[in-house]
Amino acid sequence: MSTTELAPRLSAHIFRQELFERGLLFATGVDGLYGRSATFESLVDAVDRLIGRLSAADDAEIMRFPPIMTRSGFEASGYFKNMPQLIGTVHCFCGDDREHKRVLACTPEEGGWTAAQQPSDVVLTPASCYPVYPIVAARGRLPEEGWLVDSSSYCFRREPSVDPARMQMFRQREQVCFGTPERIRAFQSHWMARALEMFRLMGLEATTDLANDPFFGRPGVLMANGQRSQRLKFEILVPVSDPDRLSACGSFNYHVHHFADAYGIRGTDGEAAHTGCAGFGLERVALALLRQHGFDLEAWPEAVHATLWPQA
Amino acid sequence: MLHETVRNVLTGIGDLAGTADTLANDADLFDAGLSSYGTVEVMVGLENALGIEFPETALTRDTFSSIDAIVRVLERLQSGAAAAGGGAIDANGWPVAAEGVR
Repeated sequence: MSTTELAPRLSAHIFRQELFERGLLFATGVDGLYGRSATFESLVDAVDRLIGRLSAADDAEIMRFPPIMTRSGFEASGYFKNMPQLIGTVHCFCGDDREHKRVLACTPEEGGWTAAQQPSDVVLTPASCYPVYPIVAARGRLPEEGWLVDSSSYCFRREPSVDPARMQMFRQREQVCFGTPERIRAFQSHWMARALEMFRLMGLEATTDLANDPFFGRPGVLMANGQRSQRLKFEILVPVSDPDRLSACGSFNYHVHHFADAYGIRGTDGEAAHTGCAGFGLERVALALLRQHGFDLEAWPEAVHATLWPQA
Repeated sequence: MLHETVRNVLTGIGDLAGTADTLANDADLFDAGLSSYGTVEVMVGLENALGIEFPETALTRDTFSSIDAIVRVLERLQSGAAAAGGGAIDANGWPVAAEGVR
């Protein structure tokens, strides 16, 4: 098969405008927050199912989550220490009738209706693997061979952008592996190879590369350098909406024993287990497909159709 | 002097509780249990203790790999700052910032 010819470059702004005009995404007036059309959803669903087919033989335990997680589980993760700029908390009104009247009368300068909002016991989920750790930890020591979970959730990242690939809320399909360092490294490299094959089957020219999380501030520089020097994070990259650089559509992460320490996840021997995750941003993959093969799904190459919508 | 300052900061890091006092100067701090968060605590602890700021180029895992490695970076910063400023130094040997004149 010949190499795929890249679609013409479109700026993020023009690409997003096209998605709106063709009715694939619905604008809300807030950057990064969009409604999805039936066509777009069918594409996201097809990508999700493709990941499911490719990993069916792994026999992972399925866990699906709503887009919020426990505040206690979130706090244990250390996410606020690392990436405070990305989180979204859930605040609620907990007052009585009198307090309700008071806040309704508050001026915008006094905080308006939000004046009495209090942090609740839930936060928006930053990645679909986060709700998994407390659940696995609560079961006690891992089986000898470790454990594997197939998670999925809408996730929130506070990074508004005109780039349609940078949504504030998006779906992640993420496999989470628990076990020995050798098992996690094998899981990480296996998923990188599998992802490259998956993207090839979808007619997308992808590469993998070393990466780092967007850690906050000066300590974040140290964290990011440490993550890179230990080769803990890799991404799969394809052209999506930035004409000058590739966009990450998935990542393959080795957490060493960070989450095991944070949540008390123990191996059979009682030592801190090692963990890793391999996840895909489903909307990003859908956008990469639209960017590469065009907005008319009927006109996509037959091989891509067969990959995404195989006949039973 | 700097070795002592570094060791004092390490003593206050949870990851190295109970071991920092007896670590050899060339012992690998990560092998001794220093985590990524712990490394950030060491960085902040040294910056507070010495009134300095590590340049971004020094914010690497290598910088914090042993007491000797940290001291080497601090000495380099010290000599670089002295060369650049050439002015007075305080009791720790760090250059004293001159008042800006406008």
